[in-house]
Amino acid sequence: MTATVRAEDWWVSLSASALIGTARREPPTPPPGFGDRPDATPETRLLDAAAVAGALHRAGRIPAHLEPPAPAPDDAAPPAPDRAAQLLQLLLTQPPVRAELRPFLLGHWHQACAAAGRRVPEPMLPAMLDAAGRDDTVRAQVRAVIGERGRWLARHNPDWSWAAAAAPPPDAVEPPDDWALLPTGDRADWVVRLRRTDPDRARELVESTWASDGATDRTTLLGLLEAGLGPADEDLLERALDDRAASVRATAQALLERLPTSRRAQRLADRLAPLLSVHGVLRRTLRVALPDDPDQAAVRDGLGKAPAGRSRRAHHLELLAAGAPFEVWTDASGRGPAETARMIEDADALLGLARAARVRRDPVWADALLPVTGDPALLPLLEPPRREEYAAGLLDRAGQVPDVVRVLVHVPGPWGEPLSRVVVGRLRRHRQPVHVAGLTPVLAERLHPAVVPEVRAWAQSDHTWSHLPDDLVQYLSLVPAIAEAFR
Amino acid sequence: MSRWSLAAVEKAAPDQASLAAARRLAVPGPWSETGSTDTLVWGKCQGSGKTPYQVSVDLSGPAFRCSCPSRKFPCKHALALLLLWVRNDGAVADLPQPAEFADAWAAERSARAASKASVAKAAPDPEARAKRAAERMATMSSGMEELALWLADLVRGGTAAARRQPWTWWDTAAARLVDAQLPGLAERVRQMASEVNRRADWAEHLLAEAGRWWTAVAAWRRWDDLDADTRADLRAYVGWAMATDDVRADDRAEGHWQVLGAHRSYDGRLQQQRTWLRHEDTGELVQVLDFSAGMQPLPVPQLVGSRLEVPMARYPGHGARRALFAEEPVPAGTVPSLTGATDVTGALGRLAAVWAENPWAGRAAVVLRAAVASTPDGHRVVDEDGCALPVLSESPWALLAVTGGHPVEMFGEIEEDGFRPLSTVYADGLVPV
Repeated sequence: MTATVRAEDWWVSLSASALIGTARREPPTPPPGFGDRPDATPETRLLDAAAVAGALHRAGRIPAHLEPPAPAPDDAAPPAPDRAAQLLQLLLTQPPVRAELRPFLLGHWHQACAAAGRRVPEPMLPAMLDAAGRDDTVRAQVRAVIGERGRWLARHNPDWSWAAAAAPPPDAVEPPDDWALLPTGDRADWVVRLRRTDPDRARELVESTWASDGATDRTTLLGLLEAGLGPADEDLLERALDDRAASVRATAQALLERLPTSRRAQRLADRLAPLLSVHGVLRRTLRVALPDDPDQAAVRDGLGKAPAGRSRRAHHLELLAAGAPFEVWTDASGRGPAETARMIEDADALLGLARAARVRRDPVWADALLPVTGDPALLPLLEPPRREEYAAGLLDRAGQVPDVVRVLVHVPGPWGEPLSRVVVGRLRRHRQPVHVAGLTPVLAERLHPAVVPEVRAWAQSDHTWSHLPDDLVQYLSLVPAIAEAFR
Repeated sequence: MSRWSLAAVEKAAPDQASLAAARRLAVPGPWSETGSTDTLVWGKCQGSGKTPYQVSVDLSGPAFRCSCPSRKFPCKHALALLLLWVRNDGAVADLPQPAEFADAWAAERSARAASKASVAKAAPDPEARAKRAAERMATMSSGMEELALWLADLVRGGTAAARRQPWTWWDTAAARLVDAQLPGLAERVRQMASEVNRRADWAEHLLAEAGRWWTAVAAWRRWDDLDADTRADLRAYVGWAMATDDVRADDRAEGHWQVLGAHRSYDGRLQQQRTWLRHEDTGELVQVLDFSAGMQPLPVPQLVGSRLEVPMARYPGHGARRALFAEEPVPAGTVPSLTGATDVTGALGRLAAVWAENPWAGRAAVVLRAAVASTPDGHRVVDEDGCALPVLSESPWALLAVTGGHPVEMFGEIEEDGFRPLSTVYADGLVPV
């Protein structure tokens, strides 16, 4: 009578016996059919059994059972064409440009891919999700091109949870009831968010805790009202001018500069108007007298101590010019903004006016003041053709590299061909060794691809700009290549 | 010596980072005093230091020399010099005489090579060879007998007691095996020393391994009765290498081979690269093994999914034999799909069949049709019958991305602990995962 012995049972009893050792326990009898060696010892019997039973146990394993997984939904969009996929592979694994420029090239790729209605090929999804980093804009771009497969994949990895849905979850619209008890950082986030959709509500929330908040919190929250600032915010700002904390008052004064219809603006206009007078035979000069010592009301509006090294009255003049409505000037001169600006010679007045134009985002006055002040910060307010024309002029006049850079960074890209040529020419003229951090990405993103031949010539010439021109050539050659790859 | 091609320069690069750095340096700007002859290329490169680096390349090696402090081999300066040279646009001129520093180095090298050659020229005396072989066998046999005694001690005291032994107990046994010219066994003993403390199933694992070591001892005692293939399997297990010249001289399998997958691993001492090839007509599987010590680079692997026309020289052994490229492989297109797929039960059956012939084999290579699933305990491959195996890859993201939870054909290695996918089908070809 031979009972069949399960290999598993034999193995289990063998393991138990081996645990203790043959010195203290005889090894179990093997199943029938397994013979013995002629000169067997208990040890060799155990080892022989271990060899055979181990082999049976290992070879006879039964796999576990699982439900087959839910597959990813099908993708409607086709994958990117081969050449574009190759470029993406290059960008992700062996970037042909410096690390600081890679994100921009990836951005171009994402946009070209989305515009062509394609998606990232599956093998590159993990690398692309890893390369997205933490920037919200980049993440939004990546979300647009990963397709259903990418979203499915992202759901499996907590690091990629931001990509798991087609759009970020909509911002909740109602702030919680215990808003007043939240930490300042959270309240600040809510104010920022609400200012986009319901600015009045945001302001009401700030006012609700005004009485109990500390000076730092009041300053922070008040400052956040800069977004979506409008005449409805004036009352709170006017109240803040009387605040006991200097930082709050300063914030309120700065914000009121942006509201030329406010009471403060009118008060400053009343102070400024008497100082203006037209002179000259051809009535071409608008002279500005210095203001008198400020009274209580003037101090409240911000005409306080001057910064070190500045005359108090000059400083006050600048503040008046920055805060008063533009009409004060045109009323005094009787002419339009461009002509009026030309008539003003006083430097402090011009400084103030330039600031007013900047913060109020007034293109007319920006255009009027640029020829007179040469302030590059006014450039973004103009229309592209005009501002590039001006920029070219400013660049020609700029002396040192830092001045050149100051102009460049204020001209939003992408630049047209003429300005790009001027920029390259101007930079190339500079012969001293120079290093400006962060200039490469600005140039790379804004130069027009058509100037690649000029940049290449610059790179091959005897220059002192180390690797900057080479980096630009590489980058600018790749941008059109990316667009071309999707055609 | 003819001018190299761009591909040859790229192949010489130790890694992609060096190649990328070399591309950026491959402009005329930093270079001076460059030139080339038939066998030498040289130049001076202005780096970040005060004096320019002297770079020389001897094409007959190839051998590289650069005075920069980089430890990469060849460094980015040598690669950049070669990139300039292959462009053939005058940046590196053809000159009759090499520069002094390049010439001196080349002369030194040829002197060294000549002395090495004269040493190797001494013809091996067949009698001395046989004597050495016999001595070696004797050393190994006595090492095996010592192992038998050590194993008997182990089971006499019991596996529980073995686990309580100090590390030196294992290390001494391993050292003795190394002295006995059995390094493969020595490494396994050393690994077990840490595994008994690491694994939850240590008792069964130790007993099963001991069973396999005992099998090796028993087989070794019957060496004369063993056939050539079993001898080869045993040699591979104990770490007795076979001379590559002997292998190359023997049988060659001609035809078209498909590169189905590759895997690199590092065990702390040695880097190993395993490339699987399948014969297009016979379906025979072979593995090409490359090793390198420490931080030396491995040879550039064959592209997964490529089709090669090349004769393979195969080592003796059972199952998927180890093989070498008998000649330089000629690319012949790509592999369009994976054929001969099996399910999980079938794959386990293949592994059992391998073990039946070679109890010391680590794995079998199979084409498995299954889907990849995520579970709280890790990733699994699940076939259409619901049978599942653990996935042994460290990072399964590429696999998940390409398969998307659908059942697909994947090529990989099945081992005792699970399945390691190496490649899968994608867009009319194979992609490594």
